[in-house]
Amino acid sequence: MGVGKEFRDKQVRYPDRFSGREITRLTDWLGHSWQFYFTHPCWIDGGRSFLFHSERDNAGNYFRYELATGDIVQLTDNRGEVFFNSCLSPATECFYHWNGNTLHELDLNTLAERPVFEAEPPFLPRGHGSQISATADGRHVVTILEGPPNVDESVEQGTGYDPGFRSPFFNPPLSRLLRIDVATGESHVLREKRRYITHLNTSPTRPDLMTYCHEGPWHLIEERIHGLNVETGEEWNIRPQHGEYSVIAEHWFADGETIGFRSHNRAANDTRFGCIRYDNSGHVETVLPYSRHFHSLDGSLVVGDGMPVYLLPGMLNTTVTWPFILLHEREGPGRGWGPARVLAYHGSSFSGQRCHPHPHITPDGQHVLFTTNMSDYSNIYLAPIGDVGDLPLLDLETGGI
Amino acid sequence: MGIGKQFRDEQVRYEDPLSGREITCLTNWLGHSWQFYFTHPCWMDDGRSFLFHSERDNASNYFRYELASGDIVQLTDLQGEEAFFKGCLCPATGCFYYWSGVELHELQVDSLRQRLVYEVEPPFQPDQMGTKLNVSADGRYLVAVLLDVPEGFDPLKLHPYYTPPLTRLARIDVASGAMEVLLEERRFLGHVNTSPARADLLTYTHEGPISEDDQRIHGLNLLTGETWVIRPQRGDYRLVAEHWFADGETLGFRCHKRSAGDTRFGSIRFDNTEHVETVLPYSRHFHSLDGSLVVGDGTPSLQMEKLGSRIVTWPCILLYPRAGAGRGQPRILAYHGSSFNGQRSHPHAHITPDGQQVLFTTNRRSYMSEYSNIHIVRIGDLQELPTLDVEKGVSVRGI
Repeated sequence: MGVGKEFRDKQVRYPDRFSGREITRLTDWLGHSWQFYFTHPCWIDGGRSFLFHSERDNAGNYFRYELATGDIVQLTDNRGEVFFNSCLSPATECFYHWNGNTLHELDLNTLAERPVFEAEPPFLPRGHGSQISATADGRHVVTILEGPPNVDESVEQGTGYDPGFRSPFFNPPLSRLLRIDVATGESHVLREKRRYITHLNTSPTRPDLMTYCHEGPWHLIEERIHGLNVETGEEWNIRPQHGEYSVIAEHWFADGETIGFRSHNRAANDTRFGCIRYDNSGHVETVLPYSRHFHSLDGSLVVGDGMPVYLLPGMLNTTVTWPFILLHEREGPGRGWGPARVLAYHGSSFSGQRCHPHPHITPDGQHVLFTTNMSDYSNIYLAPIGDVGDLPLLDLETGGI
Repeated sequence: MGIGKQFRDEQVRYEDPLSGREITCLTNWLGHSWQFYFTHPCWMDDGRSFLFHSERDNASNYFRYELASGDIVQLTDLQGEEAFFKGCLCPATGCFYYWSGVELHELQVDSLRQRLVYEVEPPFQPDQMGTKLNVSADGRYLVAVLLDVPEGFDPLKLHPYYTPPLTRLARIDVASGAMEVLLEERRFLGHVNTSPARADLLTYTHEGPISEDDQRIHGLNLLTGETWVIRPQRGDYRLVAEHWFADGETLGFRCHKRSAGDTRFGSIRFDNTEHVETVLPYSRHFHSLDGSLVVGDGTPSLQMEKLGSRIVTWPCILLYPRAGAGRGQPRILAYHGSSFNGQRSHPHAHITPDGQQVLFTTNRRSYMSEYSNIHIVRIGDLQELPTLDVEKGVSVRGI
């Protein structure tokens, strides 16, 4: 059994060549290690350890990392891929993950495991990622189960990037949004509709609040973010798009009532970071240099992951890229965010979810945790934020500083 | 001991979305597997097996692959050092040579018998940056780059071109281990390519940043020590990725005219006769067995220059057939989708010695979880293959 297997990865420290900050590479293995998506909490034990994904011994599993030592403990014993389809409940320090059609609970302090819920055909977990989350009080897990998609004869294959992939948006499954009582295993269907639904994000402070999204190509999604009261079933749109905007990468601030997100004005083709309360009040957005993902704890400071590292669209053409972890300070209460400052070079190729930086500001506000494959394998890195005013400004003309 | 450890990777076959050819993904492991650089032979047993690099059990090693079955045998037991283009196969003898620290080892691939051939003495050490070890066509000599590294030398911080260590090109007698210095200069040298047919011929390169390199390809007679320039650049051209054709007397290479910013494939005999070059759509690397057909690896698969804008890319294995004095439009043999980030993911496509297939590496994500894996595809009838439209490139879809 792999559960409980121990590793110790060597921590490597180096000064970032752009910012001078001392970066620590935390993981060190000839297989990918990557962090949770920034919507899903990973920190436990007062910020002394965190959970992550890694592929070791030719299997994808979840692991716990001790920040002080690099000690690692294996938490699951899967044989296939694991891919953003689990959640930590910070309130109870229990970890929930699918093993086949069975939802398991793992007590992180004892490594005791028990089955919580069994999905029955035709509604099954399909592993699309970010389709499970625990409520703030730890009493419930919300998850998506999908019926089998219709066979779609009209699918045009051969688009190049990934012939096996076509967004389920085009041929949506019948999706059930379930609330599962973790004590009893009783389930309650909160929603059922023929839609591709992902990003179940529970409020970190309010057990009644969550968001889910209508997933698909951004330009085709009419309303992405949906608020849902898991106790009353009430549902509403958050940050209405009115056909003019695309909205992506929504996440709760630490207050559990405000949501940060990236948006694009479709006509202007710009990139914005914004925040809004769950009741659509307090809406602010600022045009910022492109980042694939933004994250903020409370809006005072935003971290972004910039642009992929290169590449050559044509020989000797120059592509302006900024493959950096960027920080944007808020310009005042109720106002937007200022220019990008470079915290660290990441150099990720962004070629697949395992190597996306997905940076987040740690719960104490002191560090940024990010992932990159700049060493040919995805590894997890930690950078101290320090005084943001000391950091170099990003030069948008050159992509440098 | 890991030597002799066996694996069997599941072979996954799929239809290429662009060409319709059946592709076989040969390796299947949650760690990178990648092929030899196309300058270095990897095929043995008359094309039934090949050697490759892979990272398994948290170690980086060399392996042998049986094409028919997917059976894999581990050949080395390196721990804490990289198997990174620092070995060479001698097709004449079926021996594999590789560095482990300062020791140069010989492995008889069939019997897995191993012996120490040579040990580098201080202050010199082997240059393990890749493709700097090779063996003469008759299997008699190894040629290796050795360095006397100054304190503080860090090639990752500053290109070694600017602070080159004292560098030796050493000829090592395989039978006796006797070493003779063929060349010694304070310069960054790379790519030791021995002729596959002539035991006296090799090329090496002056390596440097794109904007700085002076004269890349140098011929060397490893019996007499004579050196000469091949394909003089005269400041107007950049040369890259030279390799011997199967005849062992002709070299293929990629070339760019600096003022035009173009991309060319060329070939030339070792004595600078029969020089031909043709402007072609960009490929990072070209390879040819005899000049009749050239394989290229196109461009990287992505990226977003700016949100919403589209970049023309052709992340494909391309075939450039000869057409009259030049070459015809490239044909798409396979989509590779490599991100090109790091040498492990570069396709480094080559035409197999029988001329029938192309072996390539990619870290495309669809089938094998973002790890580099080795693929093989039949060349077949070129007329059946779609041509590349460089205006449209290949549509890239992502969300």
